[in-house]
Amino acid sequence: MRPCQGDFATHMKVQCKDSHSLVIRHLGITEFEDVWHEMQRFTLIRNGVTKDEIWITEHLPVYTMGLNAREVGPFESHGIPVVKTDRGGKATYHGPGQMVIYLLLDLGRMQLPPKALVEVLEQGMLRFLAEHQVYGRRIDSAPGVYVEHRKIASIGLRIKNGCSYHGISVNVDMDLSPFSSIDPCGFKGLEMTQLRNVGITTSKEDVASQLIELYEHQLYLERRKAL
Amino acid sequence: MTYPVEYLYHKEHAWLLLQPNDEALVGITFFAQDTLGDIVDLGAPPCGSAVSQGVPCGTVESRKTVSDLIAPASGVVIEVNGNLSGEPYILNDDPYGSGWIIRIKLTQPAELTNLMSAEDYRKNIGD
Repeated sequence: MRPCQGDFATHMKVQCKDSHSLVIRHLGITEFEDVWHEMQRFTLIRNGVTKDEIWITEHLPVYTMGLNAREVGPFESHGIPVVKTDRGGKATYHGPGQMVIYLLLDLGRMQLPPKALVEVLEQGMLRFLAEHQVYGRRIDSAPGVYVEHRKIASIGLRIKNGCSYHGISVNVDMDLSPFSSIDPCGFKGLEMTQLRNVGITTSKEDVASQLIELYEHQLYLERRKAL
Repeated sequence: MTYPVEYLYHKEHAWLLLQPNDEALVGITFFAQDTLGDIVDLGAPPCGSAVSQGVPCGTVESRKTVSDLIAPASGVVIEVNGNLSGEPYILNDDPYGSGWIIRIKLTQPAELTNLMSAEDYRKNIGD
């Protein structure tokens, strides 16, 4: 790992590694809005040769509403900020103990259709669970990753000029109670779970590393297909 | 018949069907709905709003992903397909017929020369 160059890197005290085609940035603990605006800025100014990036972070407590979360009524946020953002999906919660992985990818360049990126996110997480002897599943009509009927990872994406941002949030070892104030992802009564509750005690940092490796590999395969 | 020949196509996967009186219907192509997956929400530009060729004018949400709807031509929105809000999957099932999104009054008809034929669009997407 080496310190990165650039204003954003300095501000966020980022560490990153540079592979041939993908930059990984570990942002530490961040405010959602700061990272969201940085993702928007990155996507706005990137060009045909900008390397794709994966950002890993934990957010301070925040509820976020997807672009079309109109039917989400008022709820008791107990002082936790609520931010309307521009990703797909409905309402969710981010907080310490949840790893958030953002994928800033030029989908057009790698010829990856949007629906396939959702599958990459799901499959990577399912593979991670399987490697830890946990049976995860996906539901066709409700993208995300579940263990039994409880949701363990949530997905939301935005595509602008053929490039993605936002990504997946994975509940590792956190306080899940803020989820009970909302209908997570728009589903009434949907229960959330986390890696700790299904017997996976891997540290957050190792969870992030293992997932990044799985995603890097899958994206490498997708790039190879596009050649 | 995934790219009807009577339609014109924008490289950002929108189609335009010319109507009398410099009006046009606008929608998304088969390729668009196929790569997006099941569409669950549509944010169409409202009546009276101006749209510009090649510029995002709304959003389409599919499988937790929000993508831009790009206007294939410049104009003013004079009608929005009200059936889509309750049944957005029509965009998947019938993108060229009942899945039309907006009717616009063209403000720069000369721009239509920037659009592609069905054959050129197919080549563009590698079909």
